[in-house]
Amino acid sequence: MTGYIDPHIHMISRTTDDYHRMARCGCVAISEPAFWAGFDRGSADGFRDYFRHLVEVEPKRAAQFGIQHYSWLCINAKEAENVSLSRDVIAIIPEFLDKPGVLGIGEIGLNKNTPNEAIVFQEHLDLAMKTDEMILIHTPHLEDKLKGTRMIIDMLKNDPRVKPHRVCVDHVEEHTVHFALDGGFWCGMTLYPTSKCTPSRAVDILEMVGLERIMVNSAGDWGKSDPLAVPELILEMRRRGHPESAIKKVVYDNPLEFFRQSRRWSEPSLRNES
Amino acid sequence: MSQVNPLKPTPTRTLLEQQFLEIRCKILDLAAQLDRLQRGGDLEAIEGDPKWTRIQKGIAILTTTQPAKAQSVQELFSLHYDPEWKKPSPRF
Repeated sequence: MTGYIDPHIHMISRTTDDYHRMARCGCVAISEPAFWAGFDRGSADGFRDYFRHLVEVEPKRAAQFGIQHYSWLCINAKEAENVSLSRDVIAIIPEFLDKPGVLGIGEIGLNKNTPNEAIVFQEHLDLAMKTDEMILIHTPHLEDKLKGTRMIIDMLKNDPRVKPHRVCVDHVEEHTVHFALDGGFWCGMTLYPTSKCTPSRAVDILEMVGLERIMVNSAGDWGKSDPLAVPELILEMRRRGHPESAIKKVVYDNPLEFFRQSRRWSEPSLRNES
Repeated sequence: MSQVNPLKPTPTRTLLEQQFLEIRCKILDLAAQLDRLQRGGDLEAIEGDPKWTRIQKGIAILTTTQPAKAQSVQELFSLHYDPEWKKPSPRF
C-alpha cells in the first residue's frame, strides 16, 4: 500500500470513522487549514476556541489511527469581509504559532475578490512575513477562480518579502496552475466530486505540467467531498500505468518536502510501506 | 517546467478503447440536459442569457480540434481580470 499525505483536509467536520478509513487506505499524515465553519462567527473568542481545537484536539484524534496531524491558522476569506473581526483574529494568531504541528498561516485567500478580502489577505501576509511563517492559499470557486488567483499572485509578487517556495497556491485547475508554477510557488489540486478537479483531470494536469512543486488533496469538509479522494487519484495513476515512484512523489514526497520548510518542523516517523 | 515529466500520456488508441463508454455516457447526459431545457417549452426566453450563451460557446469548444479544450472551457466560465486593480500595500 502506498503511504500518502493529505495536505488539505478539514477533519473538524469529519467523523472518527473517516480517520479510521483514511488510515486503512494508507494515510500517514494530514494538514488541516483553518476555514469557514458554515456560518460567520461572532467574535475573535470563537476563533480562539477553534484554533485550540485545531492544535490540541485533532492531533489526538488523528494519533489514535497513526496519522500525524498538522495545522494552519488564519481567518478565512469568507469571513474576511468583516475587516474589524479579521484584525482581532489576526492579533490572536501569534498565541498559537509555536504550538506543535502548526505549519504556518492558512488557508488565506480570496472568496468573491472584494477590496476587504484583499486588505485582510495582505494583513495576513504582513503577519506571516514578520513571524517567518509558511503560507497556504485558498483560491476562489468557479467563475471567481481565475480572477482571484491572478489577484492573489499580484499581491504575492507585490510583496518583496514573500519567498514563493514557501507558499502553496491551492485549488488550482487547468486555467490557473501555470500562474502558480510559473511564479515559483507550490500548488495544490483539490479532488472534489463535482467542482474543482476530479481525479482524472488532476492526473491530466500532472501529465501536462509534471511533478515538481505540486500536490493533491481532498479538502474534505462538511460539504460534498471525499476524504478518500487521494487514494482515488493513486488508483487513477495506476490505471494509466504511471510508475509507483511518480505516485509516491505526488502524494507523499512533495507534501513532505513542502512541510519541511516550516520553521517548527520536527521530522516525524511516518509509516510508509512503499 | 525545466525537468522532464516522467508521466507519459496514454496512447490515443488505448484511451479510445478504455474511455469510449464513459465519453458516450457524458455526451448522452449533456444531450438529455439540453432536451430537458427544450422541453421546458421556453427556449426563446433564455436566448441572450449569459449562462445559456456560455453553454453554447462551451459546446462549440468541444467540437474543435484545438488542444487545451478544458482550459478554454474554464476560461469561458471565468470573470474578467483587470491587471490594474487597486492592490493593498504591504506594511513593512
